[in-house]
Amino acid sequence: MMNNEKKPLLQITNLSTYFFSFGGKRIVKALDRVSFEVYEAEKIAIIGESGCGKSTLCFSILQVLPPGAKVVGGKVIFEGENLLEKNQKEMNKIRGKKIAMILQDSMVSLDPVFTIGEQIGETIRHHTSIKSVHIQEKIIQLLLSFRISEPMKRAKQYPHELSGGMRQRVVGAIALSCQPRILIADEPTTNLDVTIQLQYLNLLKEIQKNTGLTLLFITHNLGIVAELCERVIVMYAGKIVEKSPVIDLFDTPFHPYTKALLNSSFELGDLSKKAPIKGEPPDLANLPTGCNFHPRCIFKDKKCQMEDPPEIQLSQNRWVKCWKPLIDMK
Amino acid sequence: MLETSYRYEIKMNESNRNLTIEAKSLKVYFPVTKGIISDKVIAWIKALDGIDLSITKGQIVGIVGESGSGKTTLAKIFLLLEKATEGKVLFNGKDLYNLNKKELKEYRQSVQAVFQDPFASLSPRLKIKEIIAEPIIVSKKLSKNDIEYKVADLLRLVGLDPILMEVFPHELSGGQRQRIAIARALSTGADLIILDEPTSALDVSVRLQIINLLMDIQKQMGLGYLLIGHDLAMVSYMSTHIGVMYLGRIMEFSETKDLLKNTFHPYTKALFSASLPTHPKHKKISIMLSGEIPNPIDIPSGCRFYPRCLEKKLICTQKEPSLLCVGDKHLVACHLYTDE
Repeated sequence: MMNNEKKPLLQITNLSTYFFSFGGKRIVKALDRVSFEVYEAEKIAIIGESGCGKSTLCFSILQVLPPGAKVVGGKVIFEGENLLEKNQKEMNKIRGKKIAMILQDSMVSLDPVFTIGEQIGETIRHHTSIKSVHIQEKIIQLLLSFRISEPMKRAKQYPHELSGGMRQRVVGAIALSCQPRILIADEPTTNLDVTIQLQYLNLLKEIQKNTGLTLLFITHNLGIVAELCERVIVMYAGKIVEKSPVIDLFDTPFHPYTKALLNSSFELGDLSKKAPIKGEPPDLANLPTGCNFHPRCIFKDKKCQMEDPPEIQLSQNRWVKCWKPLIDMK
Repeated sequence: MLETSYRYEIKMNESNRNLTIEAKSLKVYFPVTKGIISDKVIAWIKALDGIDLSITKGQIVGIVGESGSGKTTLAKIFLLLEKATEGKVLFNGKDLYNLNKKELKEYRQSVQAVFQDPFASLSPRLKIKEIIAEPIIVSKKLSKNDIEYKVADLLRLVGLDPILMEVFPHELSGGQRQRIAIARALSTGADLIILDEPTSALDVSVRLQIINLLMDIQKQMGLGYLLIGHDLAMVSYMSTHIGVMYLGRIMEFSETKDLLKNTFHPYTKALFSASLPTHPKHKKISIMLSGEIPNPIDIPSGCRFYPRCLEKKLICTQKEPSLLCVGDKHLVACHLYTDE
């Protein structure tokens, strides 16, 4: 999938976002010099634990950061333009139209006082010049493409009348209503049951295949990564620690954190006792010196405690940020 | 081994008393009233609709199922937070609803719980020491001085530094808080602990620590667990027995090892195949269930799973299958395995 001659659709370089509180006295480095590229029609997963900066990354790209948070450096190049230089009015033309997002909790992302149809229609009206008479048609068509039965009836219903799985599909329909080029999905299936999760993932896969959409999937579930994605970005404490194609990553993880994460996921039928990673993720306001992962790392040495490792390229499309990558270990 | 040091000596469980809790054709219905003021019941939500289940000390019984299948209601029944509409709960053979005050106190001490969200289950106004000591104080088993030692012991048992007893919950991380919740559950010398999705609020790297801790404690103290979860892989990693629930009934029940080899019920098969791969090369073609779990107000007649079932027969729409033995202690409620 990686094609180096091709220009990336979205290029993020050295993006840093900090949260300032107590009048700037306390600084939380939620994102620290993050760089990666996204190519057209790719399915990329960003994995990491809570607090590793996954969501801040999405919010920084779309410039919808909560108060107190600020992008302090870096570039987000989309279609040749730096999104960080755009004002809110210009961003409004990109959000929802060119880059859309699905959030975790569908009950929060949908407005309880408007019907499903009105909410899908709102996005279409805002971004396109489709005539009102045709909008209804478009809504039905979108609901159908997301496998929502009886779309005429559903469009007139309110969010509370639908089940969790169906609501999340409506959110998907809104996100894709203007044929965006990139869809950012921030843990869209966390609140869903396993059988519904599988339905949703298969649906996303199918829609991605049909439309050539670029998918940026944020998750902490390695199973979803294995099922859905082609390339993986692993984050830890605000930094990217490994970038790799999915199969290589699962076969031979280079970063000790990635390896430990893979070891702690459960496989059905595998009852052998697993060893967990010691400790907990660090406090982002009070990061350890050197490599952020060293207090939990079993391979650490002096250098890891002193200096932050650089990002090194180990093969054509694999990068790792570690002083002692696990190259010889299989 | 875990970082737990196990210097803790288990004194309260030395009695080695036996403990069994049994649910017998348990039904829990919640009334649906018309409007806000009227108390006229127009329908019943059938949260549990005939459950037979028993848990003995030493077993870890895992319950899996989608949301709305009644897993949490089952936990609430055992914790006396909800009363059965019909059926019985037996505590060592005695009816739970006819216990005298002393026996009821004994029951409450021997059955404890760890809940899903450690951010909600610990009072923010109490120090850790007070949180863990509260059940001990209520049970009046120890003097004031001993309580402090006991709390320190419990903290060590769950892998925490006893210094933490002076702090408040907000100063701790999610994993640490869940350890506190486990220490509290163990403080009365409970024999059975109800675990209602104990790890779903935790991060991947911390989740395994808590699971291993729970398993080590169970093994060491010979406790019984009722483990409720929706992550089939996690539940099967922990439990000795698994029950698969759907719309308030148990569809399949068996020992974990047996269930991993043979699944009978189409619903169990679908649940198993919906679990995600742990390696992209292990991707499989999964059985996709269409639709969602029906509303428990309006349970389908016949087998409650038939509208979503891929192997349904005519009889499935007419008669509710009962839970029957199909193999070595392997119970299934499905017409595919009856003679009719």
